[in-house]
Amino acid sequence: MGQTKNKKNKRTSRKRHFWNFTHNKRSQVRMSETIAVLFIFFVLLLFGILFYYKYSQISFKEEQEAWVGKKAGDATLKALFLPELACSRGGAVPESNCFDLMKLKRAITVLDENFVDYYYDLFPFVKITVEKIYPVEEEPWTLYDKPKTKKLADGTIVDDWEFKEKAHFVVTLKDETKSESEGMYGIGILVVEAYG
Amino acid sequence: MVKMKWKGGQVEVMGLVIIVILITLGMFFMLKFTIDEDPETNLFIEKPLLANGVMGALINTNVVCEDQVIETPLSIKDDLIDDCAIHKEINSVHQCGGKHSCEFLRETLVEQLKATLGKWRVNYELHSVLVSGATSEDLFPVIKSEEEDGTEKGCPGERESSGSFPINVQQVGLVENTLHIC
Repeated sequence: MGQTKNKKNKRTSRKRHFWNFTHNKRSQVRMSETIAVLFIFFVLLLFGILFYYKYSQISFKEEQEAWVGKKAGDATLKALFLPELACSRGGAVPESNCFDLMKLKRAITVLDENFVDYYYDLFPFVKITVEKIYPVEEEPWTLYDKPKTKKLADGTIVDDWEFKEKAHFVVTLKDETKSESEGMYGIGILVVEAYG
Repeated sequence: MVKMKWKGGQVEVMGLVIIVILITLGMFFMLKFTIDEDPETNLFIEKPLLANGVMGALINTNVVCEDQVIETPLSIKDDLIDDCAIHKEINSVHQCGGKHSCEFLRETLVEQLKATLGKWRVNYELHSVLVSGATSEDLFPVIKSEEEDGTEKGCPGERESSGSFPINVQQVGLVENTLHIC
């Protein structure tokens, strides 16, 4: 009687052991499944975050470029109507989109001398250049160049801009030293670069 | 009747499919953002204003003939367009390198447009139309911007105009010059 009871007990414990073993294995599988799902979820989340970060970085840069570009465009329009450069017929009527070369050459010093008093408000952190492209190409005239700068602790001044945006405009260049039959009117390009 | 059984395995497969779709969509958007860069140069100037400026500068220019057949520079507005309109079908008064004024004028304009708008990768079309009475005809073939391979492109779709730059040619009519950019 006692022997049969023992056998029964042994069988029950073996069954239990087997049940425990299979149950553990199933739990482990579940666990690894959950880990895999969580891993994929976090990978996707990471992708999403990276993508959003990159996207916002690019859109911020684009906005910044557009803003600096607009500054270049505005400065171009202001430069086109500067009486210091504009051509005039008979000393009174201004000719549109035309620069007088004699005025232009003189304006380089005028703009530089009056930079703090007047021109900085008109053209903050820009570079204005005029290139003659026809009839003969000439070295460009830099009318104005005031880049963004900063002063370091040791007193040295260094550039403080990351990029620049260019705006171009085609202008007529009038050379009053020549008569119309000598080729008074040429073609030039007004280039305005804004520092950002 | 066959009963549909919704097993756990099927749910997992559905989950995997969704993940694959999400990853594909993500990759697609990333590729779109990286490849789809706008090749056009930013002008930062209103296009009609730029077109007007270019057209004005071109019309006012004094053209120099390099082979010295013409000794003095000629004004596009006062000499070349006039001469081209008057002597369109016959020998022109002003010639450069044996070329008719219309041909020389067109060549000069092509060169200058290439050196400015072409260099900034802006597409353009320049029309010069001679209006005489009720009729109108092109003074010279329309000048169009070119692709990198040299084929003409111009502005077939949406475009901005410089406005008309009319030049009165006595006894012939009116030459209307318009530059379109896009």
